[in-house]
Amino acid sequence: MKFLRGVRATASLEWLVVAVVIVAVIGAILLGVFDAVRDKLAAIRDSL
Amino acid sequence: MQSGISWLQSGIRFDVLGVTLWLVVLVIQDVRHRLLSHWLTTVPLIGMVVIAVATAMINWLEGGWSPFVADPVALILAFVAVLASDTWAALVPAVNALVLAWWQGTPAGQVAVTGWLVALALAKAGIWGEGDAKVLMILFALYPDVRLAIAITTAIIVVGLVMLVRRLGGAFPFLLLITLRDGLAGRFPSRTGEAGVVVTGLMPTIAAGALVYVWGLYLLGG
Repeated sequence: MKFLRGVRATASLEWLVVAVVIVAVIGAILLGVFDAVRDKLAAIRDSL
Repeated sequence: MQSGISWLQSGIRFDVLGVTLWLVVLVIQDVRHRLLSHWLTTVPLIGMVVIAVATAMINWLEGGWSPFVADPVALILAFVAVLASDTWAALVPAVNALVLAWWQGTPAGQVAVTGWLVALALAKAGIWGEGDAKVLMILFALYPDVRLAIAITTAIIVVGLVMLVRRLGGAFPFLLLITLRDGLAGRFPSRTGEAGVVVTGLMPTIAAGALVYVWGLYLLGG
């Protein structure tokens, strides 16, 4: 509940830039893996 | 085949001017006080959850389980994670929300739930304030679109890099490397208590990214 009570509006910019880059990189990797798995599953389904 | 109320997809779209006014007031609050009022953050966030509960129930009654039920249920689970976020127990509803959204939800639900949990995680790590995180959550509930995430992320990166360069000059990559090393070691601001080297209000940046997206949609009809 601390989160809901919080009203701060500040950010540590160096952390934010690093976090955004990490989240973007991990997100892109996960999306790539997800797409590859989906394509493979679709290929298997089509072959059945 | 049930159509359902796809509030996450087509959106309960508040008027563009309303969202603009809301963001402008938030920017003013941020610049003046570095704080955002509960009336403009917590209350609308809870309102989004109430709408999600109603949507899930109506869609369920209309046509049983479907992606249009999975989306709001996943969002409700993400909110349970918010409520439980004082402890690691929050991981249980958070993981369930992600699995449900990505397994059975629509792309809109996936963006909204992922956006909520990323915003929560960054706030809990002490990287940005709870007020900022709640504004992001409301925006992702209103506009669950990956283009919104791209607009805000781009604004943060551009403004962040400009401010880092202005403050540190050519030494800014070293600060980023040190921060990355600390992050990989789990030494987040919330654990070390360090405020950070370049601390600033974030609402103008978030608002800029969001307004580019909202007005872009409105003017270009996307």
